[in-house]
Amino acid sequence: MDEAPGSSSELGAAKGSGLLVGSSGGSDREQEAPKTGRWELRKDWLAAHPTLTRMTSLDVADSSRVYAAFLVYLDLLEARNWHEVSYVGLAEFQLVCLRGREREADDLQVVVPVPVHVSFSHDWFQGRSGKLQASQPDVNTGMRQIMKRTCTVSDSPMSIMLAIVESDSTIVYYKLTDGLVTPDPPDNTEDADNKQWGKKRKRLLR
Amino acid sequence: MEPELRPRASGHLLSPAELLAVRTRDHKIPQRSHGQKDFMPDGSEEQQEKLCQCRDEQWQLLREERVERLGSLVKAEWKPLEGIVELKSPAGKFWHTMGYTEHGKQCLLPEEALYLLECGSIQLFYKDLPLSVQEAYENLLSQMSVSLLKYQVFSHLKRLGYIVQRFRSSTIATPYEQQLNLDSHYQNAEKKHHKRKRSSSPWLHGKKPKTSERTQEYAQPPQKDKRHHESSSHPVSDGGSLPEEKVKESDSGVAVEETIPTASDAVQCYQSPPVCMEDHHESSTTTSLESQGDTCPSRWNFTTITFPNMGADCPQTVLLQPDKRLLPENVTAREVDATRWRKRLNQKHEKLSHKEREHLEWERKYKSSINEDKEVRQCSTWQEYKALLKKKRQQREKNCPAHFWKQTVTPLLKPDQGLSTADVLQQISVLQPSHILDGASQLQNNSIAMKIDFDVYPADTASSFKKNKPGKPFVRMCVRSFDEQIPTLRAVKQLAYQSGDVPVVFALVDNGDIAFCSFKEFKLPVDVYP
Amino acid sequence: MIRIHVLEGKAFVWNCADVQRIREEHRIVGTLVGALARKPRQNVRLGLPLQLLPEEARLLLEKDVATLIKNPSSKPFADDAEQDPLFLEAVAAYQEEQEESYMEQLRLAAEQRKALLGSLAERIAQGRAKKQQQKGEGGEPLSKPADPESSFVFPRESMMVQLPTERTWLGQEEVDWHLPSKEWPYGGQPEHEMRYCVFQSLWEQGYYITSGSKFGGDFLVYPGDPMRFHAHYIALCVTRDAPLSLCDIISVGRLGTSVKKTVLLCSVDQDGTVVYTSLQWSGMQ
Repeated sequence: MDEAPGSSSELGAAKGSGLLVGSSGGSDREQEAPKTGRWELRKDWLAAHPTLTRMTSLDVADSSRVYAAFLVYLDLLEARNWHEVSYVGLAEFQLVCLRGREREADDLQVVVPVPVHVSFSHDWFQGRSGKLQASQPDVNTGMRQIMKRTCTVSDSPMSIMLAIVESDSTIVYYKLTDGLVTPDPPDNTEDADNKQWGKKRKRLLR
Repeated sequence: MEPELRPRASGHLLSPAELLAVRTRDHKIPQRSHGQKDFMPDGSEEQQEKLCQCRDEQWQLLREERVERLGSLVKAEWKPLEGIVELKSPAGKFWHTMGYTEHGKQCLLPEEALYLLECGSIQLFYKDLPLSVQEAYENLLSQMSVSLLKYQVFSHLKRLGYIVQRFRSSTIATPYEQQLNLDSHYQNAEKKHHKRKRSSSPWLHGKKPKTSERTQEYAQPPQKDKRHHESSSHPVSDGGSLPEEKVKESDSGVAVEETIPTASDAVQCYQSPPVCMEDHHESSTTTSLESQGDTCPSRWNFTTITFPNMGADCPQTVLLQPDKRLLPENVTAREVDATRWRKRLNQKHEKLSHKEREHLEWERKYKSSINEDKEVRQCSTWQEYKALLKKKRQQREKNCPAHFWKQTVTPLLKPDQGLSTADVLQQISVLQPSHILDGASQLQNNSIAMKIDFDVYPADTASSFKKNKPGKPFVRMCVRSFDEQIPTLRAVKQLAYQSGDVPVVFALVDNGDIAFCSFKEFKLPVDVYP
Repeated sequence: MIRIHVLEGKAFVWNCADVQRIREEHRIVGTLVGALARKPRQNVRLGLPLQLLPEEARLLLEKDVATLIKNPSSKPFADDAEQDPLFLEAVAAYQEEQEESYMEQLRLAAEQRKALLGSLAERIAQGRAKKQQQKGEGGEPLSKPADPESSFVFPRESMMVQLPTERTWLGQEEVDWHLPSKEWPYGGQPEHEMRYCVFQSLWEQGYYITSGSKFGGDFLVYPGDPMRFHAHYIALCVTRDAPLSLCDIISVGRLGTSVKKTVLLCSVDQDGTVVYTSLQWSGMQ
């Protein structure tokens, strides 16, 4: 496993223009040929970002997956202010996974960035022997296998966060947990004031 | 296990005392007044008590049997061979929206009978012995007539108060007929169907309509505004659907409607097919396989239909006696001088909204009325007009410089096309929007996997509803099982075509739960400023 | 034995006591699909029969508390039943029964009326006396109350008739549910076997399970009786090695979030155990 912690110097490079990540893509990216890897043709800071370069040099996944991982990495660091975000290459799954803490006191979470066109099976793994060649789609990766591989701490149920990256670099996060997780109880609906407050709080969070 | 034959041995049969006691039974359903559902069972006595209450109430309701006064029950007999239920005593109020008469007997369809049995309105017998609800389910429902799934949808809708009839394909007017408002006329005509057939024959072999001879004398150039002209000419030229395409499929003994004049009439009066009808002809021959072989593509002879000028600029307007074939049976008509009438028309000054004025302004800028064209104004028939268009097109083509237009790569636009941005964009667009009915008429030939099952009429029309003349349904239902595939675009088009302008709703049945869904047409908004 | 009747490949329970046992003793819910006898023209509360999912029926069958019964292929009476002595006997018995019921109802109704009049007689007498007093002394003499027996009519139309819910004939043929057949096509079908494994596993953990189509899943999983509890989970049965598109994950996850339920991905392992993965929106937007 090739591991490289996200260093703070990269952070500095991304800061300032980091907010552009989500929205800047649109117009100029459309002109690029999709197959060559969008980021390669970029002449701006993003393509030359040292973390992206390092993620690429892990040589575990195709460019779209690496780029997705990089976008999620920036999102966690810059937009969500996560702590201790690091990345790790998982060659057998062709993934660059991230780890970090939402708040300083929180547990370490595993984030699995994937472009939206990828599909996983639920509980099956069929790897491919040999080194990574050009993107081979015949690897059937099970979500539970990723979970088992990345969750080494045994005192809480295994869980990973899927970070699904859309082509417009929208990111949605879904949490996968082993076993049955009871949903949150509903807000106390009998209390109208409470409900109002709940709504307001949700709006504030948005 | 051997089929055991022990009459009246099982089931809850009530004693006379119990039967009488039902007279004072509560008729209301208890309100579920046990408070909000809980999130988690906590083993508390309170939760347990609430659950017990709920359950007891439920079992109480389920234990109740249907008990009715003998006098308020209609006797009915199940006839398995015919697959119908025959009434043995006078029908009740339900007769207004259900049942039909055949050979002087009052009959119910299996689904209607089963529903009425469930409602406690009829007592159903089979060979002099009464059928329980269970037996009725097991005997009346079958894949041949009405399946369990269909009955579940039927009874669901009936319980909500809708009027539900089996789908009748013959009630559907083609889009063209709908545009001409003929559908309402058909309904009136339906009753007098037989009479008309007889009375229509005399003039069939009679003289040729005189109209064409006199055309030149009175006919005036079309005076209608261009917009109107376009829209009214559309259904004629787009070669879509024709009245004769009505599927002549008899559904459970429902009388087949025919268009008027009958097909044979049309053949006789259809003498010289105008040029513009040729594409029509093709499409109808490919699409009307199901109709009779000798039908003719159109019953209108456009060479003889003139445009009267009802505009203010015409000094005198005499309307000829209309062709009888174009009139409903019960309407007589004569020649009329419309001059006086015309003066009373269009008296009011048209008030336009801001938007309309803007639109008019825009039209003035970018469009020209075809009526300003002298040559067009001289046309007295469609045929002449179409010929003129053809001539002009040929002329235009001559004017195109060969080095531009005679090569494999040509300019996207002709100089006289596309005056507005929207027009230009329309011209060069790769994907054309399509209507749900586009090409649907051609699809009818293919084996149709899905069928519409029910015509549904809203509950509040019950007072004015007429079984023989139901009119246009509110929706049509296609019953499917929940685990079936999503219908293909082809299937959706086929159904939409069969249904005409009535929306088709899919009723998806899953283990007794029914979900209703439909495909809605969506038009992408054009966001271009003219 | 609980009797489960097959109709067009679907399972129905027609006996009310069976329905109650299924729910209270076996935690099987089903769906009521018939009209409610008390108020048939509404859809809020439905009545018998209770329709069971194939999985619900199978669980009861595997536990050996129920039998699967099909409509007897041999009709109770042949088409030329009019000559069948058994049939004629049955018709005669039915008619006699109706006659007896009418006579008994007549007697009971008359009795009830008598009792009613008796209890009212006192009040009527009091009322009359009062009236008389108000009218002043004299007036007409007390008219004798009408004889209840003589004025009582109970026409035949007033007789109450039962329209029985359950089958009144005990003709039945058992269906072997282990093997797929025309009546019961589920046995051995991979889809059904997977769904049944998941259903059974959840049921054994004490949950109540209903059909999940309302929420786009296979099952809805309740922590207690659905009468009193909301569902916690939307169970989605997936073949363990079938690729799932992330768009589908997002859409089920999204739906689960909006109805405050956890989406459960359920797969059957090679050794038949069921693995569950909970899918929840992270709350990060």
